Amino acid sequence: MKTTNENEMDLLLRALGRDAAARSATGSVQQSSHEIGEHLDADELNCYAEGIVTVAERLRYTKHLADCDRCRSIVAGLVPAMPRQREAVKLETGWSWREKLAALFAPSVLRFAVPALALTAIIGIAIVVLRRPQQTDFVAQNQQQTPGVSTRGETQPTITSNAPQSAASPGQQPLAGSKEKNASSEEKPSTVQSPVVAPKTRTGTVTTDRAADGLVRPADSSVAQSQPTFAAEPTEAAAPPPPAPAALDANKAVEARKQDNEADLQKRRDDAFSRSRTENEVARAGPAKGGPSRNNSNNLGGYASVMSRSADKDEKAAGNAAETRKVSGRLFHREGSVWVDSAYDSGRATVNVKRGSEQFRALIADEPALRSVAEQLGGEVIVVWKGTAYRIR
Amino acid sequence: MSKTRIRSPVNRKAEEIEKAVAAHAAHFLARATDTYSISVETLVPRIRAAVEKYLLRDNPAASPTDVNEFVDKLQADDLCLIVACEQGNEKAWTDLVARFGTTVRSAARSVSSNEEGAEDLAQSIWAELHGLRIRDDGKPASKLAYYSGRGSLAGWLRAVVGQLAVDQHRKQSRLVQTEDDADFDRLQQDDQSWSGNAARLNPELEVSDKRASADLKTALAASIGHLSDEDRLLVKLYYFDGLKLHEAGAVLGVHEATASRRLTRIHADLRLNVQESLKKEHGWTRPETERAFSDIALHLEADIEPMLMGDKMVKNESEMTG
Repeated sequence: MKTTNENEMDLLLRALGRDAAARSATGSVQQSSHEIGEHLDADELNCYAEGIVTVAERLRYTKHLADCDRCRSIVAGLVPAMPRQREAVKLETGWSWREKLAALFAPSVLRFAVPALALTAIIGIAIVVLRRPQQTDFVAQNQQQTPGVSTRGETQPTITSNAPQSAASPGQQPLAGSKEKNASSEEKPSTVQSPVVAPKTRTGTVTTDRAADGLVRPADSSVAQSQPTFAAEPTEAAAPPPPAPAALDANKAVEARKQDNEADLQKRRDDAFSRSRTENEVARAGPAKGGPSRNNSNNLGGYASVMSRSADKDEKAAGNAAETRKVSGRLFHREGSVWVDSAYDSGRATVNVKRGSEQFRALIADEPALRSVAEQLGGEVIVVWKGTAYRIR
Repeated sequence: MSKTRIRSPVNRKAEEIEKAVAAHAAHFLARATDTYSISVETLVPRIRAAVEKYLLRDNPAASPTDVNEFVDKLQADDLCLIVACEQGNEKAWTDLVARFGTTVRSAARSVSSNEEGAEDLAQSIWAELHGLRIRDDGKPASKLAYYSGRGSLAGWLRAVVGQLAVDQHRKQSRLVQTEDDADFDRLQQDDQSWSGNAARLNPELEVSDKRASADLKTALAASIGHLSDEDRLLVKLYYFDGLKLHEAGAVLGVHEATASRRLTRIHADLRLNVQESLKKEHGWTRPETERAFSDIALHLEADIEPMLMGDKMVKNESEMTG
C-alpha cells in the first residue's frame, strides 16, 4: 500500500514537472524578481556549487534556487562538473561520528573490505595448516638418527626403547616430558605410550627385565627411587636383596663402590646428554637419511638413542657390580670380591680354609662338590656345606 | 575651541576591517605564484568587496581575525590573474586564455545543442569578459569585476557560461512564443491528460474528472510550495529539471541514498497535505481523494507508456539508420 501510494505520488509529480517544463520552454511563465528575489550572480552560484558557503548563505541560496528556475538550471549544470571538489569540501567541514560510521560500513567500502578480509583469513589458515606438517617432519627427523641404537637394541628391545626415560636423571626429566608431549601430539598411541601411564610401566618393565636377566643391582634401585614419578610402583624383581648384618668390612667396601658407581653413572649421563644435544643439532641441520618410519618403535630420536646407549653402559656396570651365580645347585651372590652362599647368614662363624693348604686339599677330597665351587668361583668364597660355613680364600 | 570628532561604533568597525584587509593584502599577494606586478593598493578594494559581500553580510560583527581567515581562503593566483586582466595586462590575458580556454569551450558545448552554437557562445563569453560597454570611469565594464576569488576561477567561468546560455535561450523562447502557438495547444492537451479515459466517453464524467484533476493539480502545486526550501529544491531538481537522483543529491551536498530517503518522506508529506487541502477547500472525503489519486495515476501511467514506446522506436530507428 505504501509503495502504491509512493508510485502514485511519483507519477503525479512527474506529470506536474512535465507541465512546468513545457511552460518554462514556451516562456509562458515568467518569474518576477519580487517573487524570487534577485538572481544569484556567477560568483555566488559557483560558491554554492563548490560547497564553500556558510550555513546562512546556504539557506538563502537554497531558498532562491528552489523558486528560481534560471539559477537552478545553472547550478544543476555546474555541480556534475565538480563532484570531487564537493567531496573534498565535505571532508574538510568534518563529519559527525554517525556519518563516519555510516561511511565505514558503506556498501562501497564493504565491497572491497570484505573480500580483502576473507582473503587474509584464508592466507592465514593456509600458513597455519602448511606449517604444522613441517613441524611433524622435524620430529620424525630426530627419530631417524638412531639406526645404530636400533640394531643394538635388538638384543634387548624393551630396555633400549624405555631406558632413556627410566635412567634419566631428575634434571633431565622435563626434557623427556617434552618429548613425550611431542610424541603424543603426533597422535600415534600404538607407537608411543601415553605420557600418564608410560612412566610406571616403563620402570616396571625395565626392572623386571633386568631382574629376569639377573642384572639388577642396588644401584639401579637407588636411581629408580630418586625419581618419584617413575618409582611410584615398585616391583618384586626391582627390590634389592636385604643387606647382610654381618661382615661390616665387606658392607663398607660395597657402600664405597656404590658411591663410586653412582658418581661414574652420573658423569656418563651428563656426557651422554651433551652428546645427544650435539647430535640433535646435527640432525636438524642435515637432511634425514634412511627414510623415516614413525611406526617403528626402534626408530626413536637421537636423544633417545644416546640415552639408550648410556643405559647399556650402565647395565654393564651394574652387571659387574652385582652378579649372582649358581654352582653345584647353590646360589652365590657376589658382595664385593667375595662370593657368598645364599644360605649363609651374616654373623655366622666360618671355617677359614686357604686354597692349596693341606686342610683345603682334605676338604675337597672329602667333598668334591666344594672343589667345583672353589674352582668355578675365583677369589674368596663363603659356602655353607653340611651345616658348616667355610670361607675359602 | 577645538571640536573632537566622535566616531560611531559602525565607523570604528569599518575602520578595523579596512585595517585588517590592508594589513593582510600583502600576505595575500605573497601567496600568489605570479602577481603580474599588481600592487597591494590595487588588490585591497577587491578583497574588501569580497569581505563585505560574503563575510559582513551575514556577520556584521566579524572580528579582524575572521577577516584574516576569510582572506586566507581566497584563491590568490586566480584573483591576481583576474585583477591583472582588469588592469589590461597582456601577459595576464594570454595566460587566462591559455589556461581557461578549454574550460570555457567545454562549458559552452555542454549547454549548446551544436558545435557552432558552442563556438558562438564561447566567443560571447570572451567578449563579455573583455567588456563591451564602457563604464563612467572610462574603463570597460567587464564581468571580471564580479569574480571575488572565493571559488575557483574555472567554476566561475562555467557559471558565467551557464548564465549567458540560459539568458540567450530565454530570449529565443520568447521570440518563438510570439510566432507560434503550437506549444500552447500542446499545453492545453497536457492539462486534459490529467483526466481519465472514461471521461472522454461520457461528457458528464469528463467535466467532473476535469474538475477533480484540476483541483488535485492545484492542491499538489500548493503543497509543493509549502515544503521546506531544501525539500522543494530536491523536488524541483528531480521532477522539474530532470536531474538524476545522484545529481540532485550532489547539488544539495548529500548522498544519493539520503536524497532517495528524503523523496520518500516528501511523497508521504505531499499526499497528506493534498488530502487535507482537498478536504478543506473542496469538501472531498478521504475515499474520494484516494480514488482520485489512483485514477489519475493510472491514467498518467497509461499515457507514459506510449511516450516511452515512442522514444524507444525513435531510438531504434536512429540506431538502424546509423
